[in-house]
Amino acid sequence: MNKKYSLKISIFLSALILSSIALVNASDDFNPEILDLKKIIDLYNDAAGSSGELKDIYSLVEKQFLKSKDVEIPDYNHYIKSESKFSKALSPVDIPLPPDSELVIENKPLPYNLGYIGIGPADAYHSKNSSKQVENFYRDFFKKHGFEIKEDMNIRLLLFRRVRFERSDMAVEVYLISKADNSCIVKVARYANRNETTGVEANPFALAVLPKEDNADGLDPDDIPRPQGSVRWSGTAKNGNLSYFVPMPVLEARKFYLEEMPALGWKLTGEMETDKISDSYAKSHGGVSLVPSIFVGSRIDLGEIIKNSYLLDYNSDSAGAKIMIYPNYLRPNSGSIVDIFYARKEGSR
Amino acid sequence: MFIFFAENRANYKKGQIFPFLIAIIVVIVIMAMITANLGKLAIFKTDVSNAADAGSLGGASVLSSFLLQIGLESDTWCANGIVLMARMASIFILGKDFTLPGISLNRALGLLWSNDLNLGPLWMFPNDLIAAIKLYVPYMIGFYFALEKAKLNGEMTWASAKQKALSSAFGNAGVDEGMNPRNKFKNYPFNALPGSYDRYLNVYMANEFNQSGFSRFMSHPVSGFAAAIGEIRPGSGSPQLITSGYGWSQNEDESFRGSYPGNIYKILNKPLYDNYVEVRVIGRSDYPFEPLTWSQFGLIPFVLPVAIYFGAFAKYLTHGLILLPFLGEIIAGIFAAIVTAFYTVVITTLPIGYTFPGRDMEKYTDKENISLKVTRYKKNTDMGIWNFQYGRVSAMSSGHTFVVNDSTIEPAFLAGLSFNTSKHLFETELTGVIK
Repeated sequence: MNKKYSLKISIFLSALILSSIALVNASDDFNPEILDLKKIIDLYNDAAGSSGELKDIYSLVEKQFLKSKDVEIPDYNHYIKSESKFSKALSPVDIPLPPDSELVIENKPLPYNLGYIGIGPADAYHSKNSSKQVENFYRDFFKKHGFEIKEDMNIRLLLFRRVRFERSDMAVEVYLISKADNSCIVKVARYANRNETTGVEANPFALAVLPKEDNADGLDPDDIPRPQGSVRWSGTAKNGNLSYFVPMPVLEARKFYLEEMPALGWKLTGEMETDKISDSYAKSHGGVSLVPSIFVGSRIDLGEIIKNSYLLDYNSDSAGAKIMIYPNYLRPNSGSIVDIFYARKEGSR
Repeated sequence: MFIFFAENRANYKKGQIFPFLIAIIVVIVIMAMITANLGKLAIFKTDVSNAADAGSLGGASVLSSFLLQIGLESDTWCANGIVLMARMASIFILGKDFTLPGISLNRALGLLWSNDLNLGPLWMFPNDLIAAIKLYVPYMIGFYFALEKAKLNGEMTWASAKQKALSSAFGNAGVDEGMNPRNKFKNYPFNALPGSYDRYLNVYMANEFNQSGFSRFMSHPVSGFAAAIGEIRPGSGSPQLITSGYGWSQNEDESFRGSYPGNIYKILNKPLYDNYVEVRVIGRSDYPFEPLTWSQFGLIPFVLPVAIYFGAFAKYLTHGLILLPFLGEIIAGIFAAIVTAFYTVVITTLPIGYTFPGRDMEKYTDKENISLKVTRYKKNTDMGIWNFQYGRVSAMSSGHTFVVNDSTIEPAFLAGLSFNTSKHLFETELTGVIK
């Protein structure tokens, strides 16, 4: 049965989701500049001058159907997460410049706060060799110096490629962008620690600015207590889905609701400690976790966030509420996030 | 023999046939008694067999209804999962959630950001991830809660199935206990109390003490017929083997003495009552539900990650990074790789319904019986000239749900690209053996 329907379902699901997105495209608020290939090419060529030639990437897309083998993405679930104690020397290996290359971007002030990205100085080289030749050049070089290629951290998107090399004391990433004349742009990023990645992969949320005051569009339900110092992140009592940043650890937040909710007429009808049911599942399934590891970037495991969550199921005469409490993954060790799914019962005001 | 009598009738005196007639009548009476006894015994045994069959079929039907409900829940989760995937794809490709038309993710999330910094894709990237995670984490926590509830409901369902099996078996066991009030009716003070007849009808007759012991035994599950299971609570499960029974005797004053409340399993080896019925039920304690993921189904919609990668890449590039040749492409590529890696793992591991270990439907339906053994004892009835023999009779029966037309508790969507709820219908059947 699986094989019979697998392809059909795959196509159906993809079509369903992509058509949903197409529906949004048709809506009034859609910005038509997004995904407009001609606009992208024109903008890019204007910005890059004669060296741009971005059209090469998109003409390829126009000519051939994208295949899954054209895309390589990092497999963060298998990436080493622990912090290492290796040398902090910036470059124990003297990494050569790309063959037949010249500097095209110097380390100059940039319009954005690119330090956040964490790929080192903003320098890049233009090599007359093809990206394949440059890649092979660096593969040979790093192999000779005791590096191994981390295939599961490589990136490939058509003519854009990243290859990662690791050794016990450092890591290097080579970024390559193929050009129309079979040359390529090369950027080399060095890390003084084997487990380091780009800053944005280590913490994708570093640049997120979290609210310090309640979301003005929101409204709290009048029969749900709020922990002191909490900030309403999103949602209203009307749509029934509210989120709060709560400045207390998960267990304290749980204790708060367990103590305060009954006073407002709520009765606890069910509670789930995810870690407990996950352990129970692992015991009966040879150690296999019920909650999978889901990495956002190379450090933040949402599986761990979910495992440390609680769900409190409440009922009152007039409403039902599910309160989910889990650690704040945006700012680790700074409290928890509380999601409340609130539903008024029919006939109640 | 008749020819012999006919040829020699001149040699016999009148009335000589009488002894033969008496003998024949006696033989006929004995044969009639035996026939009647065998008939009563046959009915007695049939009652016991029917009780076992009714019990096992009743129990199996409870399981069947529950599996239908679980299948429908699976459908709901599958639909939710598809919507989640679509919303996340929309966020990563367009930076918008299609369920919130006209509202930017920043506003929807309540996140603060500053246009003054002109951060472009640098704020858009974390916001996309936050918006997607904000959908994903509650979905996962909600699913695990639902899974846990399904397991607890499974335990309660097995307990209920056993309770239903007991109830059906006792109800069909042909219990012929008389009513105690017949005796009390005689002594009811109709003349002493004003309005006593109304009182008799509305109070006395309505009072449960008016019931026979067996009626009370059946109408009080926790302290009566289901005392072996006890109160069913979430998480408490139920024993795999339970035994319950009821015994009664007719007293000299025409009243009946029953074993209510409770059961009589402790005294079965030496009956204290003239009659008893005992029911033993064997069955599982729970259903081992597990989450079903796309990857378990052998399905990873590979087109989606490719679409996400390309869409996200183009989005980040056009929202500012395009003004940063080469490095802009690198940054957009890294952003796109992070969101695509996250999205790919999410859709691969996303739970979209329930299944059984090894996705083996038959193992937990066809091969999981609810089995009954019903034993009925009735003391011999001495009619003066004949002692009706009953003794102890047992019947066994097993019932189960079974897979028909690929019925499943997994989302029906996976079995034919539509939420055809008939895919969750499990039939019930039984096998019976009489002893």
